[in-house]
Amino acid sequence: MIHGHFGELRRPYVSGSLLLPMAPREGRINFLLDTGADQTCLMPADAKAMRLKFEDLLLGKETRARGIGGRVKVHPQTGTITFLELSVGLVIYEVSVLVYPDRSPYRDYPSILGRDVLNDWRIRYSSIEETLTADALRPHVLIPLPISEDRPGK
Amino acid sequence: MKGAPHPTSDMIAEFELLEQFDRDQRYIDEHYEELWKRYPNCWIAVYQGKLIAFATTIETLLARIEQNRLQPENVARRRLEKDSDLIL
Repeated sequence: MIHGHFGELRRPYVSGSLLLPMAPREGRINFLLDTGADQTCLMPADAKAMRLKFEDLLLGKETRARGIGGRVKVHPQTGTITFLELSVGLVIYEVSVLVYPDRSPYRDYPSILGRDVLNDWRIRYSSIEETLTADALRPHVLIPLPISEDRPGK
Repeated sequence: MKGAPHPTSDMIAEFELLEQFDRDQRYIDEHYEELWKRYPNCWIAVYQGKLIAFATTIETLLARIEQNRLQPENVARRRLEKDSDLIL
């Protein structure tokens, strides 16, 4: 089971590792779960932690994303996202991640986990009961690592 | 599903990095109110259950994490906000 958590304003988050070929470092990301987002999005603060160079993105593909706030040019990048499923292992997805431009208001936004991943999960969500868990019903890759949640020395 | 590769030491290290990062994100959740009172509208970094840096910009925060001889991409980072725009 993948365990998420509730953050500020009871926003639902889940931790994952994102690897993009253009970024020198694999980033640990606190993804905001968003079933209203078609695709997973990387926001500038996390991109900077991964040392992604925004000027390099300008040489690649560009597409438009539309949200409640309007339209923005974003850069699709194929990458892999890894999640922890305790007592099971590492659950990995290969997805096209939309990298947002380094400008306001995106600088302060959390990165978003969209339906390109969430459609493959069964999610149990209750803010009242403080429950946010997911089963990866259809992982792209599963690496078994039966490390217990309750192991000594954790 | 593609074939399941055998776990390597890199994969176990990845598991532990991600688990630590997740624990630190939960620490931020649990201490959000007190952190916000001390560092309102700042970026903060938490590692192994301790606040290691804060700054008003993400660039300064990442530099301060590196000053602590840590890799920013592995450290839990969050902007503390209460009066921000709603995300839609």
